[in-house]
Amino acid sequence: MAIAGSKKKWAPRRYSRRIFLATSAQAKQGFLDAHERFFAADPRVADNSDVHTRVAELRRIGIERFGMLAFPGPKNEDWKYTSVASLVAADFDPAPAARSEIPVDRVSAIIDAAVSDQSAQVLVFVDGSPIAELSRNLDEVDTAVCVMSFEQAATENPKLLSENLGQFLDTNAHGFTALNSAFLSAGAVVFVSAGKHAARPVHLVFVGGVQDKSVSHPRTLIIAEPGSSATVAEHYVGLPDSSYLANAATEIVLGRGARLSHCKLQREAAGAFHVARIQVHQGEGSEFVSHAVAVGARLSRTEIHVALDAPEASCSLYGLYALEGDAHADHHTVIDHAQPRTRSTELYKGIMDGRSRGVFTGRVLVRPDAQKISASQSNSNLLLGAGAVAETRPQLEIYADDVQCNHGATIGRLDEDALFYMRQRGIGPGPAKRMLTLAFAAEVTEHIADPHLRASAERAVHERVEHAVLGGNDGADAVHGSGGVARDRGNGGAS
Amino acid sequence: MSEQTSANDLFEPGEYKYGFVTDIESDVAPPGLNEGIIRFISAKKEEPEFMLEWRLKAFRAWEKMVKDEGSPAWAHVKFPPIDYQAISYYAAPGKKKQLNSLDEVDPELLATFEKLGIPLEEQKMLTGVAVDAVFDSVSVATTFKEKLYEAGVIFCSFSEAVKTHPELIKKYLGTVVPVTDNYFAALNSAVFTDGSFCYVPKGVRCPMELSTYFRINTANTGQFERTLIVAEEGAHVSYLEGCTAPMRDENQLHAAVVELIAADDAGIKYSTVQNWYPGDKEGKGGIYNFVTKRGKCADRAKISWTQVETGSAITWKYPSVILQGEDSVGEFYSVAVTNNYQQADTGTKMVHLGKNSKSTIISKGISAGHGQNSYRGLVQMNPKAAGARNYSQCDSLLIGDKCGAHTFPYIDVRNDSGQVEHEASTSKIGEDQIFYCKQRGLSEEDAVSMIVNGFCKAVFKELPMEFAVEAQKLLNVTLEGAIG
Repeated sequence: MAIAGSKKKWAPRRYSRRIFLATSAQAKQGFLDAHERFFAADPRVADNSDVHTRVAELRRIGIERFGMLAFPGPKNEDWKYTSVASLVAADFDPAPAARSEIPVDRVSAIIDAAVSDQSAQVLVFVDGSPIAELSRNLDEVDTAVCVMSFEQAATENPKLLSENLGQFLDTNAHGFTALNSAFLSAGAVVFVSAGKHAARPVHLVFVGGVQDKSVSHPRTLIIAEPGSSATVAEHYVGLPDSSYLANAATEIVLGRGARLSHCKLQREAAGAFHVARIQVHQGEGSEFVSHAVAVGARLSRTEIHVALDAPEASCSLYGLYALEGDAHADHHTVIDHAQPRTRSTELYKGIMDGRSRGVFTGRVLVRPDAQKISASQSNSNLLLGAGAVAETRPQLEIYADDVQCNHGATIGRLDEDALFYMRQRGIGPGPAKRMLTLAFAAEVTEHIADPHLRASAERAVHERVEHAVLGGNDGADAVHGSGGVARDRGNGGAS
Repeated sequence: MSEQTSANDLFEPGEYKYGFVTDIESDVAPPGLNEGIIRFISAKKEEPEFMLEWRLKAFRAWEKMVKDEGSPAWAHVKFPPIDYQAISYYAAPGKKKQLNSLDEVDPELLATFEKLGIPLEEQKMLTGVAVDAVFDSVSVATTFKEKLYEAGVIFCSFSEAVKTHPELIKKYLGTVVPVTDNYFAALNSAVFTDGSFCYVPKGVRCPMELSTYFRINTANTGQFERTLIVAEEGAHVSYLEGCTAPMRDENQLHAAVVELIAADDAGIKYSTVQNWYPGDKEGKGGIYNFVTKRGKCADRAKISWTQVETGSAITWKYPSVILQGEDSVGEFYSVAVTNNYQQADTGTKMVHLGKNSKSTIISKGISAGHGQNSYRGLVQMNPKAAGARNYSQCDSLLIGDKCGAHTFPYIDVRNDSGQVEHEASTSKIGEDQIFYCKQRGLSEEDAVSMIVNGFCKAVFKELPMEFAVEAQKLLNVTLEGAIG
């Protein structure tokens, strides 16, 4: 923004840009070296199976792309409002985390808080590696849905993995996605058989920060065969007081008429960095519902790219970010209406307290000759803190004419009239603010169909809002409210 | 809608009605851009030393931009690279001496204005609008100057102002759009040949609407206009700008800069009807219109931009307001039409710095044929702009299945008491709307014309009366054929 800046403001910015470029180059070299050390002579690549050939190829392409793209800099328009300067300067250990002693009690408590449903299928990863001992109910014979780690999939269904892995993920977008492919080693596969309906949601829990300064690259592949339906939740949590980077990538393929509800709950530790890309490819008449809730991490970025690549496909994207302290959350969605008669709706809401910053970019693309399209998008932001910042970029790019597209965006604080009305009726300022804020958030969470997941998302948001509205904005206090540690305080108070 | 359209010539554009070339002996600089050319322009215009220095500073900034980044590529427009060394940067009509009355003006030139429908003498008597006609960079006629002088308003060509009021130029030039602002503004600052200057002193309400007609005439001559309007404390002025251009095969570059300065309690209303040559129906030729327009608002001041963009092969224009003062107001009303292969990337920036500053954005885009129309805007509220408000509405109308309509708003609020509402919609004209009109005996063309005019009404009503009529006509001519 050249306009507002006086000459005095310009000089340090250029200076910091130089620093950024230097630290970014250094961090990049660290990852390149680590890749060289760990994967150049990976013994498994020698084994000529399809899966290992595929993985080796994806790693090779990934590291090549990463070498070219590096970390997104300030001149990258898609990252305009999100600087990764603090991330590249954080001095993470780029090597894949070695298996270390897991503080089982602490980690189990975090997992229990994330997934309260004891009978659900849960696959747990700690710092990027699957941990069978912490996972739950995976041996249950479920004919509809199959949950596996990459290792299991490679022996049980190698074809599935070698044919689908990396098929749609765009590693050209920016360095992080390329890096995920480059360090591809472990991940989760969720396979829903054709025509089958999975009664209960599948939970994938990614725990970070067991090793401080570690980097993990969780990878998830979800395949919903024609006519199937399922719910998959991804939980990102971490040990409080630790700093780590979770760089996730999820590929979702929906067959003809398949229905998938995907729920991503980001409750990382307050000092964590989180980057995730979800790439969805939809078949004819398929239906995709996404929920993205972000309440944790120091810096988080979630990208959701949906390709409506066959007629009658539809998607609904819901998102909620509730931030406090110095947290920064960026949500970047792209909906590509590549074929006629496709529909999309999008609702994203943000609650910013303290000096936090919420960023939303929603791009809707309607390709030439993709007629009879309907697309609607809405982004609302609530600013609770005096230093809070909201940035929003709704974008419509339309190359066909028979379309009904709209978007709306609002930024503001709580409605003074509504607060006044409530106070007139004897509700104190704190509870009134809390009620209005929770009602604002509920418009997003109420769309989560599974009751356990909805409760879990609501709890995460309530904790954050309780803290924001009643707890003040003091920074030291901010630490324990996040990071997935269950502190069900004042839950009854939220009416 | 217009007379001779039928359903058969769908996508057949109306011929450009104002396409003709006047043959006037030109005093043209050799093509190319270097320090020598800038010294030549400055010397030719008998400018004081500070102007030359300012131009050279701009030229060096531009050269640096060329070296570092090249021509900006972020806008949603496509065009072949421009060879800046192939352009001639100075052209003046044959007569260079100061003119006192219309009789001294080249009769051929007067005939050109006649064809455009702006006979100076008639306008003088009937409309009471002072016309500063810029013909190929040098003003050849200025009317009503005396009347304005009585009110204390200075309204003259830029080169004249440089000579007669150098202190004002020195004080205000480049204070809103600095030479380093962007690629095209830097280029303009280095090579601009003329433009308009208007100064309204403290407490004066300008007695008439001011208007200037710009025209490109000599082939291969880029036109670089510079406009500077200053409204002192409590002053008010309404400025009208309109342009048409002759038909040409080669692309012509137009990079103008407009600066508005509104002091405390002042008001500036700036209206534009832009109808440069848009190129033929294959997209050949047409003007590249890269304009930087910006205004600065002090306490309780108001700046209002209204624009109707129907011409040009490429429109790249973001009239902006920096709301520095408390309770300052910024407004942007725009209709942009693209037909055939026209491309428009236009919008506004509202930068809120002052407390309780308010802004309104109403943008209407119409795409037809293979036209591409983008709205790109920024609403920024800085931490000190407590109680700032913005309302934005950007609607797009699509006519035909080969065109495109895009919206790229940026909203950036750094203040918890700021309030922003933004809405945008894109659709085509509903078949039921057309059916309803036809039921009531309207032809399809009339129905579409009516709906399109209704779509743009919120903007047209902001235009001064004369322009509102012209704008509606222009809209119909531009869309002729496309809406069969």
